[in-house]
Amino acid sequence: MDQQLPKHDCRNFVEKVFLVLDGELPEQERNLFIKDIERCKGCLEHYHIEKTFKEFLVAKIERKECTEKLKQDILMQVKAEDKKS
Amino acid sequence: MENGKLVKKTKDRVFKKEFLPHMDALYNFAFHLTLNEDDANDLVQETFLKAYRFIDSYQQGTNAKAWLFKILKNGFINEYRRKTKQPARVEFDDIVSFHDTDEEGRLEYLDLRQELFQGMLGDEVTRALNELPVDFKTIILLCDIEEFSYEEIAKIIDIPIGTVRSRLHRARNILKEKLRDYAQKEGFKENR
Repeated sequence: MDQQLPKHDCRNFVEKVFLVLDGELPEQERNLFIKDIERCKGCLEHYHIEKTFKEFLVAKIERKECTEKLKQDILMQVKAEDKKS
Repeated sequence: MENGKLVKKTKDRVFKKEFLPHMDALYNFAFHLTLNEDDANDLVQETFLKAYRFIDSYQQGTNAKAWLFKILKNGFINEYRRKTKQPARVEFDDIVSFHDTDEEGRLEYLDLRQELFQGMLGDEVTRALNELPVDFKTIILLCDIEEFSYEEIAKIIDIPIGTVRSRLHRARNILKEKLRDYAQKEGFKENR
């Protein structure tokens, strides 16, 4: 399989790592990227660091939810807006 | 459609089915932008009111979430940035200097091993995010938290996709630096 891949170039990793992690590449291209970086210890390690960091942010950043009062206020305002028009 | 405008019944259905489900996500975005519950409430209310008023310009069944986020972002820029508590913006010089250092270290990476952050709390990470210049904070929220595509983000914040990519990269690096400094200062190498 490795023979089908072009020679590994770390610049390709830098170019594509976030596209892969952010879901911006089609699955086939993503799979090729993973196979490519598996041949380079540094790139593979960096990939896992970036992946871990993204997962870490998603897990740790606080998510606020709006209150029931805000929901009701919005619905009331929309009703009032309707009456105006 | 009646005279080119949505009839009330359709309007209400679109509002309830396509807009209201995004209320929590919008509130979360608003809170991180304003860092204040009252301002976030106002911003979300204004967003939904504007969305209702201009519902005719929304194409049913398309990307309501991105449309609403764009309204909210514009509302934030128009109303809140003019206030005295203007949040920090990404200045051109910051971008240039950060870009320069980033270029030098393109094939290197920050020492961001997982164990360094194991004991870090959500509050600490959220604080670090909230301290970022607003343009950097915005792009991380839109990409990592709300999972918008680069194309959607480009439309929401009116920048080219290439700028989305570069700004996201810089924003993440700044956040990593902040968290690394914090983790090292607080001795997070050992689990708390």
